[in-house]
Amino acid sequence: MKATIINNTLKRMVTFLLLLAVASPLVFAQADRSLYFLPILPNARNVNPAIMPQYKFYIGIPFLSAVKVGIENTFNYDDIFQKRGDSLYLDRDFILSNLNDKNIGNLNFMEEVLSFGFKSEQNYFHFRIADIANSNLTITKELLRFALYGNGSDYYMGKTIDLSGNAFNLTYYREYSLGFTRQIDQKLNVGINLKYLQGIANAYTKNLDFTIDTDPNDFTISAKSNILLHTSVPGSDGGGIKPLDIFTNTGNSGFAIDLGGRYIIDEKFTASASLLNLGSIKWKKNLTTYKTEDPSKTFVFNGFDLGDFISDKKFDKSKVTEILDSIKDELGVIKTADSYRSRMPSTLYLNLDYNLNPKDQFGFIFGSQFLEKQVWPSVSLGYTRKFNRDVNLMCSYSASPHNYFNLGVGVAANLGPLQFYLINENVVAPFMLNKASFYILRFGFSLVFGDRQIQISPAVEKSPE
Amino acid sequence: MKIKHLHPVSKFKGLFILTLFSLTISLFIISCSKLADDLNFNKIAVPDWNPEFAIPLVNSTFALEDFFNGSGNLFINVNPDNSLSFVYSSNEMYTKRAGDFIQIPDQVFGFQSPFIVPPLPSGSSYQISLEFPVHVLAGSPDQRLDSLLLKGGVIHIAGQTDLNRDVTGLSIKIPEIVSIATGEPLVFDASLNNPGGQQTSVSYDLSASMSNYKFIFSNTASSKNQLTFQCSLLIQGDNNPDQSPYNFTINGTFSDLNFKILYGYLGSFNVSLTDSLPISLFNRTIGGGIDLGPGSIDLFINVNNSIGMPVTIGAEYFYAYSRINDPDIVDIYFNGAGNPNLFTIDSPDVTQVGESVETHLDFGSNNFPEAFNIAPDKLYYKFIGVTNPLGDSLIENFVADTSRITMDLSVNIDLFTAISKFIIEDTVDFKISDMSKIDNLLFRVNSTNGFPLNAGMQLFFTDGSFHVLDSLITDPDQTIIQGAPVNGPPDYRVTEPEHKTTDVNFTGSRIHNIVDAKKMILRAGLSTTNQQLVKIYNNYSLQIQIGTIAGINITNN
Repeated sequence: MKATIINNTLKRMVTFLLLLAVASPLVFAQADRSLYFLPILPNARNVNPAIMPQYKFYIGIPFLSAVKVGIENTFNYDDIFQKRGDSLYLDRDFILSNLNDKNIGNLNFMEEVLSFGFKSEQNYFHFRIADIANSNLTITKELLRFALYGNGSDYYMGKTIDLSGNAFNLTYYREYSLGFTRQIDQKLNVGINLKYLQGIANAYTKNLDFTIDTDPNDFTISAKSNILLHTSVPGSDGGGIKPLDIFTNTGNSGFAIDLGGRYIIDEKFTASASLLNLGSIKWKKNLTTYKTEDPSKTFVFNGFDLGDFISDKKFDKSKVTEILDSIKDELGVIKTADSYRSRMPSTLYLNLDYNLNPKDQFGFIFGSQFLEKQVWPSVSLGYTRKFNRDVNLMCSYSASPHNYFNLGVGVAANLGPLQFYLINENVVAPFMLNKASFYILRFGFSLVFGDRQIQISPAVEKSPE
Repeated sequence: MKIKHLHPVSKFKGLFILTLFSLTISLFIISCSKLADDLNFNKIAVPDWNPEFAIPLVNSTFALEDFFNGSGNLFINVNPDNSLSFVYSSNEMYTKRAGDFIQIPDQVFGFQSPFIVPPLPSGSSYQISLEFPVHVLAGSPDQRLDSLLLKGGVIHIAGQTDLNRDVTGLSIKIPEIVSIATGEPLVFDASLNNPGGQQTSVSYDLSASMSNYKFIFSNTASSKNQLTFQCSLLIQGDNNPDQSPYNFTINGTFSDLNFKILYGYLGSFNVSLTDSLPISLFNRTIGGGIDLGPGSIDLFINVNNSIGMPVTIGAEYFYAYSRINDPDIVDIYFNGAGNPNLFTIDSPDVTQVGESVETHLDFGSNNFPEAFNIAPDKLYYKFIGVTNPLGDSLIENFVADTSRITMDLSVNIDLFTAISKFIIEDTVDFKISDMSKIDNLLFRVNSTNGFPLNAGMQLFFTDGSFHVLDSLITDPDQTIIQGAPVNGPPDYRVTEPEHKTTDVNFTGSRIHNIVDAKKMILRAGLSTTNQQLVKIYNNYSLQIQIGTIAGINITNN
C-alpha cells in the first residue's frame, strides 16, 4: 500500500475528532463522586456539604490542595481510527456508525487555589477558592456527516440537511465558597456552601441550528438559521488578552449554592443526598452576541452576479469584501453585545453506604447532572477499605448512558499531618487510552490537624474517650 | 524516651502509596506513548473518499449591452419595433481651416510720375494730384477678391521727389482701404520740404498696421483686385528757381496679410479628411463572418461646412479590412456598385458668414453586407473635398479664417443576421492560487438563453509561451449555450428561451494543469439557431448559472 502523508486539513480534522474522542470537553462534576468513597478526605464535602471532616482543622497546600482533570465523551479513539497492519484508516461510514445521534464531549479542569476548614463544637466552617474551567460540546451525527460527506454528495443532494441540536458552552470562572456543616444530632448532618462566582470567560450557545437545502440542478443553497451565541472574552474589545485581564476580570458575577444532608440510618446503613451548584453567572462584560434576526427567514444564495465584480472590464478585488458583507447581512445574523445569564451545571447525588464491618464499606451513588439541554445520569458502586484512620483505599464501578464500564481506584493517606490523595476514575483508561472515552484524575495535598477520632460509619463511630 | 510502636501497615504505608502512585503514572505514560505512536499521521492511509461541497458560483443575467460595454464608438439603438441595431460612430474629422489653406501673398508695388509746377510767387500755393492703381495678387490667377477683412498685416510705402520747394506737403489716400472701426479711408501725410532747394531730393517713408482694416477691391472686366493710391502734393510758392519737370516715386509692400473674412471668387482648393472606424463586433474574431439580412446596413455621413464655397466630397479610398479573412480588403461603394463615392454638401451663403450648415446623407444602397462577410475589424477611409468644383468664377464665395469642413460617419447595423460559423477568441492572463486542497471539481453550467445564438465554448489553459496545457471542454463540438428557437419572417423573433445544462469534470492531473497555467484562451464558436436569419430584440437576455461541486482533498501525495 502506498504510504501517504496527511496534510494540514486532515491533521485538523483528526485533531478535532481526537479532541472529541479522547480529550474532549464537558462539565463533569459527577467525576467527584469517588470522593464519597474516601471518607478521610475533607474534600469529600465538595460532593456533599453535610460531610463533616474528621479533623479539627485542615488547610490545603495552596494551588495543590485539589487538582482535577476530567474528560468524558460518548466516543473514543477506536471509534474513529481503524488500524490495519501498520496503517491507520479513516472510514467515514465506520466513524458515523460508531457515533450517536448526539455526541457529547466534556472537559473539566479544577484547581483549588486555597482551602481550609475548622471545627467549632458541632459546626464546621469551610472556605475555598478554586479556578474552574468547564467545556461542554454537543455535536450531532448529522453535523459530522455533513462535514464528511458534504452537501454536494449524493447522500445530501436534494435533501434538507438539518444541523440543529449542536451546542457548546465553555466557561472559565473562579469560585469563592463559604461552607458550613452542622451536626444536628448523632444521626443527622446538614451542610451548605454559599458560592460567589467570578465569571472570567464564556462562550455559550443558546441556539445553534441550521437547515440547508441544496438544489440538485443548479446547487442553489437555501438556508435557515436560528443562532444565539453569547461570548464574554477578555480582550475581545480589540486590545488582546492580557494575563492580568483574566485574573482580575470582574464584572461577570454569579452566585451558587450547594445543599447536603447525611443521615445514619443504623449501624450498617448511611444515606446522604446533595444538590450542588444551583446558580448562574450574569455575564455583563466583554460581550459579543451573534443572533439570527428572523429565524423564519430563508436565505437563498444562487451565486454571485459577475457584474458586481467587474468594473471597467476588470475584476475588482475590492468588491469582494463588500459583497461578502452583503451576504452576511442577507444571512440575517447580527452582532450585538447583549448581557446574558448562563446557568451552572447542577448535580444531584443520592448515596447509600453499607458498612460490612469497621474496615470494609460499600457504597452506591446515583448521580445526575443537569445541563442546558440534557440530563446526564450515572450510577456508581464503590468499595472502601480502611486500613486504619490514616489510609483509605477504594475501588469503584461507574456507568453512564454512554460508558457502561468504568473501574476507578483511589487512595488517600495521611503521612503525619500531610494528607495526600489520588483518584483514578477509570483504571482501564491508562492502559487502553484508545478505548477510553472517560477519564478523570484527581489528586491533592493538604495538612490536617486534630483527628476527632470520629468514625466514618456508625459501626466504628466510637470516640476513644 | 517513649518508643512509638507502629502498626505493620504503617511501616509500609509510604512505600505502598509511592509504589501505587508510581505504577499508575508509569502505565499512563506508557499508554500515552503507545497512543502517540498509533496516532502517527504518517501512518494514515489515503481515504478513498472526499467530502464534496456544492456551491453556486455565478448567477448572472446578461443583456446584449453587457457584452459590448466599453466599446467606445458603439451605441446600441432600440428601433421602434424593439429590435436592436449597432451604431458605430467615427470620430469627428475636420479639414484645415481656410486661414491655413488660403493665403494672401506679400505684395510689392512701385510707381513714378513726372510733374510740372508753374511759377509760384511767395504766398501762393499749388496742388498736384497723382493716382496709382495697385493690383493685389491672390493665391491663384482665377481668384477674384471682392473684399477682405484683415486681422493682421503691414503696409509700408516709401518714395522721393526732386522738388526744390521750401514747403511741400504730401498726402496719400487709399479709398479702398477703410478702417472697420471708423469707416474712414486710410490716409498717410508726410512733409517734402526742401528749404532753399539745397537738397537734390527729399524722401518719405511711411507704414501702418492693417489690422482691423477692410479692403474693398475694384473689379472690372479688365482689372481685378484693384486698389488706388491717391497722392496729393501741396506746394507753397517761394523764390527758389523753377526746375520743372520734377519726378515723384512711390514704392510699397503689403506683408503678412491675415484675413478674418475674404469675399470674392476664391477658386479651387482640395481639403482632406482621413480616419478609420473600429468595428468592435469583430475585434476578437478569429474566423468566419456574418451574413446580414437585406437592407440591414446604412451608412450615414454628417457634414458641417462653414466654407462659403460649393464643395464636392469624394472618397479617395473607403474599404473594410479584416486581419483574419481572405480577401482581407473589400472596397465599399456607398452610391451603388460601380458608382464613384462622391457627394455634394451644402455651404453657407453670404448671410451665414461664420456659421456652419449641416448636410446629412444616408447611403442605404451600399455593399456593406459584402464587406461584413469578411468580419472587418476596421473601416479605413480618406475623403477629399474640392471647392468650386464647377469653376464658375462669377459666383460669390466667402471664407472666414476659421472656416472648415467637419465630418463624421456612422454605420448602422440592424441586428438581422444569419451566422453559420463565427469564431471569437480572447486571451487573458491567468493565475490561480494553490488548489492542492481540491481533489476533483465538477462545474455545472446552466444556461437559459433568450438569444437565438448557439455558443460552443472552449477554454484553453496555456503556459507563458501559449503551449496548451489543458482545455476545459473535452468535446470540441459541444454546445454549451443552445440558441432559442425563432419564428419566421417578418419578425424572426425568439419564441421561448432555451435551457441547457452542461457538466464539466476536472480531476487529478487536469487540476494541476490549471494551476500551472499562465494564460487562458477563451474561444467560442457562435451561430444563429439553425443558422437561420434572426433578429435581436431588446428583451433578449442570457442567464448563466455556474455551480461547482468540489471534492475536498484531505490528503496530498
